[in-house]
Amino acid sequence: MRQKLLLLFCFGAFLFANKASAQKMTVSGTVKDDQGEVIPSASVIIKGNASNGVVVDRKGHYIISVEKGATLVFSAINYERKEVVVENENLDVILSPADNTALSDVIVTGVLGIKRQKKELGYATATVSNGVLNEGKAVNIANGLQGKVSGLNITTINNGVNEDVKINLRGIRSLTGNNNPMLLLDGVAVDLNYLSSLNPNDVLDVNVLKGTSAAALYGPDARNGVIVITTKKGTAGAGNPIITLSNSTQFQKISFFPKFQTEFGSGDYGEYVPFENWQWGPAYDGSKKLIGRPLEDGSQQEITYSALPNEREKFFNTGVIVQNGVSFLAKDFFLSVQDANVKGIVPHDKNRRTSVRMNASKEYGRFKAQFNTNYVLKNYNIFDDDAMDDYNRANNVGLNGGLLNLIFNTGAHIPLTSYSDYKNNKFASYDGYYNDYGLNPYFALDNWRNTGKIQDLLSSLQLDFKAADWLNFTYRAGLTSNTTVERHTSNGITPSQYAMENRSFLLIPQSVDERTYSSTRLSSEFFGTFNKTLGDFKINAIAGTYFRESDSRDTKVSAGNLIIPNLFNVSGRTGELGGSSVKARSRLFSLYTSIGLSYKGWANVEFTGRNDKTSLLSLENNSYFYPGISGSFIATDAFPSIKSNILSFLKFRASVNKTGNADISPYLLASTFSQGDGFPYGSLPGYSADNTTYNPDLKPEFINSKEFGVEASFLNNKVNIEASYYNQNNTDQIISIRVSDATGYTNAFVNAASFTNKGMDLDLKLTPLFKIGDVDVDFLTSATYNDSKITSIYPGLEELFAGGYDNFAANYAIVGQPAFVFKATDYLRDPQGRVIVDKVTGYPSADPNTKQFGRTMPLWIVGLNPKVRWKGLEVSALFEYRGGHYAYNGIGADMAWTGVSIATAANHRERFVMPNSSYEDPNNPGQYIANTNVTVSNVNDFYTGVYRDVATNFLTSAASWRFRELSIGYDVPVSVFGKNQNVIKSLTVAVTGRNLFLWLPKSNVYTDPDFNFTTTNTSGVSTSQINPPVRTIGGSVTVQF
Amino acid sequence: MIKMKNILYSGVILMLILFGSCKKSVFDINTNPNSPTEDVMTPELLLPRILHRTAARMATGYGDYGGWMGYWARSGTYGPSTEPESYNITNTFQAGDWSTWYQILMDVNTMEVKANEGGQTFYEGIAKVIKAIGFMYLVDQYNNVPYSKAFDLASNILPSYDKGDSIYANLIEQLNDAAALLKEAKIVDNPGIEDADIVFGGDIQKWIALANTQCLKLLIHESEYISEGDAKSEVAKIVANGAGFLNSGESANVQPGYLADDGKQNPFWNTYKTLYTGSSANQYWRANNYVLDLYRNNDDVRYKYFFSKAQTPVDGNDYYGYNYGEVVIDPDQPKAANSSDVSGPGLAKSATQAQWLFTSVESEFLQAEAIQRNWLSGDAKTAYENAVKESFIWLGVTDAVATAEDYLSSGKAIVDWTKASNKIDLIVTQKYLALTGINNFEAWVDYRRLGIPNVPLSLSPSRGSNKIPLRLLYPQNEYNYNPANVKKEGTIDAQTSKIFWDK
Repeated sequence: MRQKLLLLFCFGAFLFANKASAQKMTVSGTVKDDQGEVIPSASVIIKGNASNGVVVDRKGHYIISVEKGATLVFSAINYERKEVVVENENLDVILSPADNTALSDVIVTGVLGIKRQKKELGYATATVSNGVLNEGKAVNIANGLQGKVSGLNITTINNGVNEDVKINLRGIRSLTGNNNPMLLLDGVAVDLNYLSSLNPNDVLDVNVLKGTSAAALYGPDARNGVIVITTKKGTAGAGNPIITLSNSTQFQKISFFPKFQTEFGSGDYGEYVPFENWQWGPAYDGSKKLIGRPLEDGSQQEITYSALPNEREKFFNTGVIVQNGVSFLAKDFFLSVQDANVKGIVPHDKNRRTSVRMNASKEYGRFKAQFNTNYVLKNYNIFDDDAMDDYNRANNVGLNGGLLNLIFNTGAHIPLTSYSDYKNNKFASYDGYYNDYGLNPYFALDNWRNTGKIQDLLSSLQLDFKAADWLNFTYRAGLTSNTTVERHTSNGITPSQYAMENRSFLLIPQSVDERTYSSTRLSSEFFGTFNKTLGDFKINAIAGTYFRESDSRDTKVSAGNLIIPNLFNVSGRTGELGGSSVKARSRLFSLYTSIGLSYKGWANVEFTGRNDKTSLLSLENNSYFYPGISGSFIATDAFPSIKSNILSFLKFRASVNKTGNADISPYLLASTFSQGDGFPYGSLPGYSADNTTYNPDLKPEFINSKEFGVEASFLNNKVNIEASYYNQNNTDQIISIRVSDATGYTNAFVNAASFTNKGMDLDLKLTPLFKIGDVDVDFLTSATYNDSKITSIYPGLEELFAGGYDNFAANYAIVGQPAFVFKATDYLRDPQGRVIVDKVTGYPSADPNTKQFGRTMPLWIVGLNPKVRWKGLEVSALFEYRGGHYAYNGIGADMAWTGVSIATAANHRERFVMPNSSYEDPNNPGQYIANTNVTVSNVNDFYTGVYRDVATNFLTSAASWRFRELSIGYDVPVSVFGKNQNVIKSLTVAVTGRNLFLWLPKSNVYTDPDFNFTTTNTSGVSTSQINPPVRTIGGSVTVQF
Repeated sequence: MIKMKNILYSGVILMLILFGSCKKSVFDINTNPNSPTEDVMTPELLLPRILHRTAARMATGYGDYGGWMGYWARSGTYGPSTEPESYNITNTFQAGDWSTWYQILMDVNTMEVKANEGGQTFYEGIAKVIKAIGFMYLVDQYNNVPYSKAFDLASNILPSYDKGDSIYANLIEQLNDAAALLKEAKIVDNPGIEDADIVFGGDIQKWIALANTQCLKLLIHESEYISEGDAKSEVAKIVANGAGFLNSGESANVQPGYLADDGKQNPFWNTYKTLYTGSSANQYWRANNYVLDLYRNNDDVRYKYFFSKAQTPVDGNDYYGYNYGEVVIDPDQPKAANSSDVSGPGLAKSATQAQWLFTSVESEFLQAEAIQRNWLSGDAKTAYENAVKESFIWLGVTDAVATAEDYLSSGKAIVDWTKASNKIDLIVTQKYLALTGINNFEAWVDYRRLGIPNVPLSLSPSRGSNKIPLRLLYPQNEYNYNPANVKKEGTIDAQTSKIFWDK
């Protein structure tokens, strides 16, 4: 492999070293309006060769390579298009405002990286430019896309130095499988996770293909839509290189904290207990009280027994995110380096990403070569709360998973932030910390760490050969390689004899767990494109092949009991070495074709077909074909008479297609056995069947999709509307169904389950909404409506567990219901819906059977994006609404246990009558009498008992409004640096904010309802392992030389 | 034009080369390189883990029944566990037991099929014995459960339920078959059996004795259901094979080679005594005052073997217990370290000790009851007294036989044979006192079967009028994933629905 890579690099350098061919010339210039303002969204295409267009940069500057005598077409939304014959290398253009250009001339990066005019497409796409993507200076591109594209649901599911995001386009197409859209980076399909590795500044634009139509040409992964990212490739002309320096510095603070009670301190049943994690003690009275048990030296800490303001919130730091970048843009060459350094709100958590990208290309007559390479290094060091959770579970210490739980173990009167020096402060040490049932969080944060280094290398080589004006051949090879080296450590501590005997403290072993994961994906693609115009007809045809091999190995080695302090090597252990090594390999080979016909540009139809062959299915079932058709009709071009001042542009589009895929991992055709439970013991092996059974006869699954869309502009393109309706029928899904344990397995892979997924994407752009003097106000909105319905699971099975806390609060697929709905434990209720309580104790009880509640994924997502421009100043804001769904907040139950939540202090902990309750009539069993006077006999027992067992107490509406992004940018006139200087070409300063406010319904006093414990298909279940949401505020400076 | 053709041809040829290169073997790479599949499994590879898991489940899976049965109680270190302590159990309670047994029994089933195909009757016989143990546990907790249609996912992905009594009847047959299969077994036909049999090291006679004892246990569980005639004829079949029962010193113990290491310790030790790190493994379960007093008030030293001395005694209370379900508000109440753990020196001797699967003590009490019921010939009093003695011996009580004899002859009502008006009640009371922490499950079976002993009810303030549950509710998973079949069992109420043998 090393040799191969070296060859590729040599090749790239060779390309760069040679001189340009003489047949072409490079034209550059600026595109401005008649007021002299730049038009940042203008595009430039060569007439008769739309696929070679470029988009101007934010200075209005463009560079394009053309043949002498060619005609360039300049266009932009709200401006009249203009055709100019090229005569010399400098061509500045002024476009006159407002006429019927609109959406019609927008260029998008279509299938296989081929640029297409959007109006020809029969399916929905959306383009996000670099400027729009980076408005909030998000470190992760996914966060930068939030709220900007209709149909795209990007959820930040936790908050940390490496925010995990979940991305769905137009809902889901697989109940238990993969719903990740495909990520196509410069034409090469790569893992969606690379989104977090990419430098957002390198991105030229992001194009989102929303439907399944692209699957015919991109392959099975594209059934979930495609996110096409094109990186900057260098300018086409030989002008001066552009050097860009940028810095963005942002600060993070908690934006929403759960509501705590501030009335009662530590203890149980109203009695003061100095070492309790329970806050069920007496009310705060301002008296002096001792906390904790006497230490070995007899000392004991004294505090004032009253609630300290916001002490728990102060535990968290202000996070700092610093991004520095430099890039060099020259003819056919782009080089950039970025360093993103994130320090989290959790003390000591950090993550740093450094990346280098070089894109270079060269043209020799008919031959063109491009080589892109991107190396990314990520180093992180974070609290390992899973390891803490595992330790606590192994020691029967419940409810101690997650940093928040440590906070919940702490009373409002405890000076939490004074315990950071647990090494020297005797009251903060492991032995001396006041709490018998909860660790000092500062100690825990340092004890369990996860440190890792992730290296990504993404490289692609593209060779184009223009056989004729109408025929082009392309070969593209892609390599992505990921190496993750990760280490989980526990420093360990041995408690003093005194703490062991008096406080029952346990030893925490020193341990290390190391993991090396490496994966490579190689792809090789060859295709030919045919473009020919015959009279009024234009034919576009593509035929190609694609081959891909994915390989990975995941090796782990661990030692549970290390003996030399601070030495974390598995060799320094007692006991046996733990570990595993898992390999996976798969291959895919495809043939595909697409034939497009266009009549006069206003009637377009495209046929597609693809045959895949995969190594994942048995040799009998591994080859499958799927066809598609799409078309568009531009009414305003076909019937120019309907064009008017009101209607500027009207297009209809439709597509019908089928996609097939084998959405399974390698080796899922035969059931397996494993050792475990301590086996092998010396020379004695011991195997047991694994819980999942596999079916050798699995077949590919298919999705039938229909899509219909309208694109229209009104009032001279001031009002632009794009709307799509889609309906997808997902059949014969390869799913893992949960089966009765009595089958001997818990899960079985079968071809079953069908469901429909349908919805609408709506975009409305008011550009401008209004204009007063120099002030332009634009208003962009996007709306996503998505619904689904399960039509079948499996004969005899109506439900499928999809994730969450089984039998408590979980996501389920239920026939007749959307995917997914909550099933959760509720109170036992009488036929009138009243909570049944015990006539004597007043306690309700949990219904032994879970009940079905609302959906777990949003029905509506709405983005509102007002923008105001005034000369060099631009203010852009983004608001996002999500609603129609529910969330389970696990922290509610955890906070109830320790008695810190606001709910536990309701009614000042006086006994109360359970609202809307009844009890069974002793004389008429089965009849219930309204309860007006039987109070719960003990509030402490109620909240720590049945209240926690009833998941519906913590199931809230997941609706939210959030102020997602604010950006105030100002282009400093370069003249301030001297009239005649030409060193500094531009200077932009910006103030940015992300997630500034979060508005939640009253019932949600817990956390961001988007937070979720997993990136899998399950939604709406958050736990105490997820930290509170944060807001990010900062500024950035970008200078161009 | 010629040039164009050439270009086209070259393109087509290039594509053909690319397509042609994909041979069938390119896609034939889906054989699992990480884990073995069923075709390479042998009984020898399955048996050790089956035996270990079975013993581990029996010894460590039933702490809550220890609580219900007055053996154990929650320590002062923990807040109340409302669900078990109020007897108000839901269908998540002990749901892991259902799945664990079916997982173990799945391996047993695979082993049985493989052994049968290979003519390995020793392995097949063992499979039937473990099957009888596992399904007994399921029936004793859930009554009707999937049995005949279990472990056949291809044709029964929704397994129907069999009646508890017919499962019992079939298990008894299986055990008879097991005895016959074992009898004809030859070591040479059963490769690896001497190593894989981590209970008896390939001793056929002992396996038949275990099969016999398990069969007797099933019959005793059915004592209030089965007719005397049927019981007698079944017992006669057992006696006829001549291998007898597990006798004094013949406990069936599992020993794969336990080590004082992470995940490799003796299961009971690892769960209730000490973790491999040296930390206390369990601070939740402590001695229950009820059983502690039954020992102490009757000069029965065995409490010092079932329970440990408090690590840090308070007020000289070396042995300190709690009342089940009691909510003590006093913050200074004795905590885990101040009370007696449930892994006394008689039970937890070391991290590497063998794990009991079926103790000689229990076997002797079963025999004593069978004799008293006239199912088995012999002298009931002798059998009873031998059983009590076996308990002292098993625990390693100092001068076990003499101490036991003193206790037997102490004249205390709890132990005296002659004073006892109901001998069965006496046998079962002493069985109860002999199995503290060793077999919490059997005590719950005997309590439901005979109401012995008269355990005090939970002091949980949330108990209301609840009594000790009579059975478990089917797990929610069954209602989700096998709904039609489980719903045929009707509404289950743990307070009123009974196991078939519970009359």
